[in-house]
Amino acid sequence: MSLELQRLTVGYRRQPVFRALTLPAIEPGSLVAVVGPNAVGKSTLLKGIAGLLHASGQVRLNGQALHELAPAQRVTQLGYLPQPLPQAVPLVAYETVFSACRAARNGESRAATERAIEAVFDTLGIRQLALRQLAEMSGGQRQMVGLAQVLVRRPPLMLLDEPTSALDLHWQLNVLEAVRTATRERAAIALVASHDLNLALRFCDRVLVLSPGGRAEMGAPEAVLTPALLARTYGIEARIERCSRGHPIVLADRPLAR
Amino acid sequence: MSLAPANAGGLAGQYRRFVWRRVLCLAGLALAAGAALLVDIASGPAMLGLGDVVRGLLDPTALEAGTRVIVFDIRLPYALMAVVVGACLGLAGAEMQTVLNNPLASPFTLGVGAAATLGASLVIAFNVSLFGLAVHLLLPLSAFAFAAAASLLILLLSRTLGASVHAVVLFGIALLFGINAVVGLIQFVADAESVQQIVFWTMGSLARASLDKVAIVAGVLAVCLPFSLRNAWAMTLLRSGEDQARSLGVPVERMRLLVLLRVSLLTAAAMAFVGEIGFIGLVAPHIARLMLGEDHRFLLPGSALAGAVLLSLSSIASKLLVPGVVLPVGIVTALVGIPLFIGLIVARSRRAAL
Repeated sequence: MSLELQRLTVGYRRQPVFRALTLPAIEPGSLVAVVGPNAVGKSTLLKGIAGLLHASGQVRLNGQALHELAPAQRVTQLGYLPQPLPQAVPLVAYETVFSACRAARNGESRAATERAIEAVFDTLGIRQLALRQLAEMSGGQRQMVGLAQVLVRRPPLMLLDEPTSALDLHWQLNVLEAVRTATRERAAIALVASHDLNLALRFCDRVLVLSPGGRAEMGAPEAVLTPALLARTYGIEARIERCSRGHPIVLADRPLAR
Repeated sequence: MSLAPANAGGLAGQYRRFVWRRVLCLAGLALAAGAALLVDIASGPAMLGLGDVVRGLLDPTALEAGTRVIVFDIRLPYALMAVVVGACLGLAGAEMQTVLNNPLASPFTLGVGAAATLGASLVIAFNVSLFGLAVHLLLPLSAFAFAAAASLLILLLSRTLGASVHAVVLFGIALLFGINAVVGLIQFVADAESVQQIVFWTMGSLARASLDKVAIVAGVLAVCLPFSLRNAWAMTLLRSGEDQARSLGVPVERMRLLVLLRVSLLTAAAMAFVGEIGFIGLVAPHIARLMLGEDHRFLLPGSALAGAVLLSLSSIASKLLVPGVVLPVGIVTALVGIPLFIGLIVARSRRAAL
């Protein structure tokens, strides 16, 4: 029961971003932050795992090769939150989430789907948005609805591309709590692409750092996120210090000349 | 959280009440289409009472011979044609706007409509006769063939380039301008009488309607609508975002190609018999969207109904605007549709402001 990436090559039209990427197996129940500088391929990696980009090599979830599954089956195994927010169209939040359940044709009864939707709106704390149109919502609210589209189906593997990019601090904590609860309770795995290293340090079991040139390192957050690594990958001078409660925090001091 | 199914206070219950309002709205549109159809049959140079029309439709023998001819041979095909053509164009426009994610998309954006005009112009200008077919048969066939060819060309070109939304829309617009140039060239070299005929064709007219032609267009609509509705959830999901839809197993590229194919079929069938009617495919979906939202279970049939209502109203107006003269309906559609459209937008923005 785990996620394994073996010799994964992903990219756009004859331009692989990753060549033969192999990672140690990711245990069930893990929340993994995927971090790295801009354009390093965080989104590409998530898309490649989700099967939205051409990928070769192996992605194994609980022993099953994901890309060899029929699309209908693969859909039951993973949930993907794209980086762009849901569009501001006259769809109400409830039907946006409902359509995600229906289009995935998971064979669930209507009553079960309705219960799942109600539960996810409560978990994320967006019950009051249910009958509001996406067109009338703020970016952050639309991002929450997008998350509901993913979480409602309770997939064993969640691929979330910057799920907190439009959220204020309250909702950032809310979302990461919800994702962490989902991974713990269901032994699911979540890969969360993010630029927020402090959220990664606080919530994630592991951090996957992608560096330019297709290199990747994965490990426990405190072991991986060192000043030397931050200098190498982000080109910054940074410190890792402890706050009054003993949690590590990243303090970025200044950019280094490249 | 209560586990009772659909408790009235729960979100599911609230959503059901919300959906119920849309069902009523859709029923209202259907009633409006029916009413417009009856008024369309009743109006014309010889005005008939609505009661007479209803009675006559239910029992043809109750009508005088003269009135029977007017109702069944002239008005009914004319009015039914307005309904089915409007429905075809409304449905085609709604599907296109969704899969191309572009509020300005309509069968005309792709040049499908212009291609039909090109097909008709060629027959008119060069008086072509093929396989001994008469012009009145060859003209719709040629319009249909050119419209279908235009969409096939776009399908092929966009397929080789990955069927991205921008590629399809840009090809469509390029094709539209290209074809318009060729039609202009034909008009330049054609004789005066042909030019007049071509211009008349581009104005769109229901006067060429007959019951068997209505049956053909209705048949195309009946074949396309179930396929459209089957995709309703996938299209609704696509509206919230393409990548999300893709990750949930919606085959977006394939759906886009199939929709373009359906659109060309609907447009070509509608235009083959009535000429160019441009406005409906663009505006009917917007009217339906303002009334029904984006849930495609309602938006798709709603757009078809809105198209039917719009063209029926236009047909009525085309007979009443200038007494004794039936104007080409293509000219009237925009005149009727725009005030209705603006009215809806104003009403909605007022509601939002309250």
